[in-house]
Amino acid sequence: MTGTVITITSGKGGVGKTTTTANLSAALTQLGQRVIAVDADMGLRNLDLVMGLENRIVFDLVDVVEGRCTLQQALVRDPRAEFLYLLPAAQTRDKRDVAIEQMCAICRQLVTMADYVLIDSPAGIEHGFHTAVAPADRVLIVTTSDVSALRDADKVIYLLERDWRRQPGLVINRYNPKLVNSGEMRGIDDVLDILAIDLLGVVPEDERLMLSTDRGTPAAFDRRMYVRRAYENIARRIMGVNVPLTDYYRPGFRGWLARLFGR
Amino acid sequence: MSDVSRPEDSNSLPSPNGAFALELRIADLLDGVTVPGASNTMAGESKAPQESVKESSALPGKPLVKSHARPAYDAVDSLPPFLAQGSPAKEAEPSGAKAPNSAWPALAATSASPDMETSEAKDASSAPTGAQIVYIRGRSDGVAIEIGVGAWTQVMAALSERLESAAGFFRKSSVALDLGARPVTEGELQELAQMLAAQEMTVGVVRTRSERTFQAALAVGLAVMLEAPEGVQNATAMLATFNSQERGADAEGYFVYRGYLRSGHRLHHREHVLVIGDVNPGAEVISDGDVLVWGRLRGVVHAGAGGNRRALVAALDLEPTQLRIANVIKIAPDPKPGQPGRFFWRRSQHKRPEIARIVQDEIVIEEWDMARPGGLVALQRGDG
Repeated sequence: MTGTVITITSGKGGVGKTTTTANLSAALTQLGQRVIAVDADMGLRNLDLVMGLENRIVFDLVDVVEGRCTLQQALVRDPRAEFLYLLPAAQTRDKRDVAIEQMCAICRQLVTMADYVLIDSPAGIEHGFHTAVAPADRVLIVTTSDVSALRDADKVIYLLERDWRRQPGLVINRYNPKLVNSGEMRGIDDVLDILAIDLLGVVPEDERLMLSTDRGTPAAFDRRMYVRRAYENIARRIMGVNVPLTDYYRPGFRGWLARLFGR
Repeated sequence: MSDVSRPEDSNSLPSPNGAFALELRIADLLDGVTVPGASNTMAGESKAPQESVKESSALPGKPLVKSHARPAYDAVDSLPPFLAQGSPAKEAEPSGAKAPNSAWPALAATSASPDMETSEAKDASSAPTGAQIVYIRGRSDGVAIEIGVGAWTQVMAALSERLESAAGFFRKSSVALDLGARPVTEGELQELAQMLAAQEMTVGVVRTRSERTFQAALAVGLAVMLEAPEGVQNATAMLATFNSQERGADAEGYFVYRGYLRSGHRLHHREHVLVIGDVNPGAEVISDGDVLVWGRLRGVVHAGAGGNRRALVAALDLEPTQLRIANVIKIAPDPKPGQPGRFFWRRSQHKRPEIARIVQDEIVIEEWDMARPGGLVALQRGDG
């Protein structure tokens, strides 16, 4: 049995690729899946920081590629989960140090070990992006609903369709229902209207999420976090379960109730 | 090609705009073609009639013209407008520096009207009669009244005379009032509406090219459409037109693209381009001919890139970041402060398909059923 390789990308930087990767990995393991998170952002790695595993890193992706260690040695285990590993990127090396074929070869090995291999893609649409996308079975586009993120996401979708023949799924990050309700921000419909791809989930904005990222505890591990539910839903949808979309439009008492019961 | 402008000149129509302009020009073309006598007036231009035929058939709007035959007007209007006064002598009249010049035949044809207007103004003011100032035309769903150039009192006198002579023929009809570029005050508009009301006619919609009239009509509470302001023409623009006409070859055949055109995607074809899908912001569609989008058009579009000024851009949802036809550019209006850019990534509020074309050196965007002959009143009805 082989797993699925999912690349998380966005085009624009700072929209939450790394946070999404970390939280989805955590959410998937909590649903009983075996997960390996791969940081493909050579030279600017920070998936390890967000997952809180920085101090455990001994070897990295480039070491594996250049034969200084085995793949198993480079994998860093997350002690909070049953089966969650991180394959860290090299901080001291460059994106060009890993060729597309090498990345594909590594991922072919990884899928034999795990159910899901999540690759955190670097920002931009250069070599690093193609390296991250090449081995993917599925691609997840993360975007916020601001203009520049949408424009870049659109471009990435175009590149994926043109170069890799992939139909990506969409995660809308930092969604602010309050601003959408007041008509000042593009809503889910507006975003989907432009990007016209399948929506996998919406993550509402939450400043505590930033704090949890800072502490190195993915929100999916934190029972007090409200956004945990959003990541869990996305993880379920990735696994093929049909989860209805959370209705963030509903303010007032019903919204409060909905929040109370976690939907 | 000057026969395109000629009939309009000689009947001294108030220079029409928008959909009207195209209809009229095509109609005149057809007249020129079908009536052998009409082409006689163009002495010395043997090439002209053929060209006009070619051009009219190249126009995508042509099939529409058939249903919109001239005689329908004439049944109501006592004289066919193009026969009303056929004096070719008018050409000799000096009408400013920009008179249609025989050295540039192409110009008169394509970028017709502002100069004609000035010459007409002289004509009309020298001998204004009812037949010249006010045009009444029957349409399938109402009456269109065009107000020409002349003093307002004369206009009113002429209109009242025409209405009296019709003796209740127009009763209970809805009127599309075309005021052209004339600035009209609220008082004058009210006076006009009252006169029409006396004949049991109602003003359905007012078309104007003057901002002032627009405001006045709003104040009076009439349905009003502000059309493109008068095109500013200068020698360079005319020259550019001329050159592009020289180069401009119309596209042949269609290129069909199915799917989404996304940011960074560029479609460049000599043929007409038909996109079945959306054109997103950041994408470009360039064609020597028309660009038709069965979907939302929000990127940059350039129709008639080879210089064909008759090219059209049409989309179910026409909100391009930038719209170019031949050498004319129109950019999307800036968003209102406090709103995210409506023309950018926001689902549009209006649902009607629209068509963009060049009218008097400016790109005019109209809803599809306004561009359709007889669509004026239909539109007004549809909107309730």
